[in-house]
Amino acid sequence: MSNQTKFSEQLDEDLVMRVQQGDKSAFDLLVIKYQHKIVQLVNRYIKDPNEAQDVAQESFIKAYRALPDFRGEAAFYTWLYRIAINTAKNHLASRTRRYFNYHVDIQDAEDIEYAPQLQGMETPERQLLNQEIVDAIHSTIEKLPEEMRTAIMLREFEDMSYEEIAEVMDCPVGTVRSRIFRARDAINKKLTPLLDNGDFDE
Amino acid sequence: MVILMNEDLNQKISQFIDNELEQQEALYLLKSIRSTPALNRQYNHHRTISQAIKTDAVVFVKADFATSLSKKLQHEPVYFLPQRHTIKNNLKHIAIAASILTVAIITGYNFNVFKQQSYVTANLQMTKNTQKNQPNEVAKALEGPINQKINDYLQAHNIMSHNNESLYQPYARVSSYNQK
Repeated sequence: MSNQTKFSEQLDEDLVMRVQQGDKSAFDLLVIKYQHKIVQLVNRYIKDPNEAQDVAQESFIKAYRALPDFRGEAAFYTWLYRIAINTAKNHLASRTRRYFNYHVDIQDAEDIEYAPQLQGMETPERQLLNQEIVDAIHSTIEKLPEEMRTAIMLREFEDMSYEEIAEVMDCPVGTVRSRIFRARDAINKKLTPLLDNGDFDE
Repeated sequence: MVILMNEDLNQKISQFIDNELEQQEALYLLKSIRSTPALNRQYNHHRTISQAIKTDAVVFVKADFATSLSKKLQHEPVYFLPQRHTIKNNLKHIAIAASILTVAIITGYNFNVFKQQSYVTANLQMTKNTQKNQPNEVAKALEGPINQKINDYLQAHNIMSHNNESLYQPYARVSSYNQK
């Protein structure tokens, strides 16, 4: 087991145990840790961002209710992902049933199941904004100093650990840590106005 | 000072996203994110950017996702389950039990060996003492065959029964005399 997996799983194990022994607030920390991954996962099934957030919240609620039965045989995140996928599929199935009941003939079932209007669509404005963000990220990465660019690319594209990157780049782990952070910080500064526009609260 | 602290926490966010932060530091960071909206915003941005780099898909998460979920969970029960015995814990217990058993076996074995050695030594010592202290006549008398002693005892009692014969006559015999 790599250090990365070890740190992450130890933290999950600790937080799950705290929740199971009466510390409800520990579940908030699990939510903070996994909210982005779960929303993104649900978003693959449900394209409407608002709906995806609701289904992701529903997944966390189901996970909390099922937590007494969680015995730690599997890693917490795989267990949570399974709940999220099932919740998203059930949500789609129930929406499809509602659609059949009110709008369409039963013979169109197969066509309807994968129809965009059922899965939800992002608005053109949202799609444009997303494309703008992705382009800005890539152009900022291109402009980064060579060493920072290599470090962030090895981390994000190759999923290497800091130790592996340090070996490849022949430098201390601390330097890798600093380069990756500075790269992220530079991208963040460039993208903050766009990211704030995309935020639901704005 | 505040700026330095935020800079440090921002770097911790970067490490946390990469799963490179140790458990205690990660716990502290998550609590800070929960209680500090500015840090929560930074965390959201870093997560969004990281996912966008990897997948070319931008997925936003509402800033109040965790807090609104926490409110929804307020009505849910609090769990008080007995402490979970993980495989690691079970292995630890088995290892402790095995160690205790090993120590017990070794101690028991050593004790038996010591006891046997003490017994043999004591016997040898006693035999030596007996041979030294007891006079030869007594020793000889003790060494005599046990059958001889029993025979002597029986003989003595046999004489006694012949001398007081009437006292020991069986009842059947007395009855037959009276009939004659």
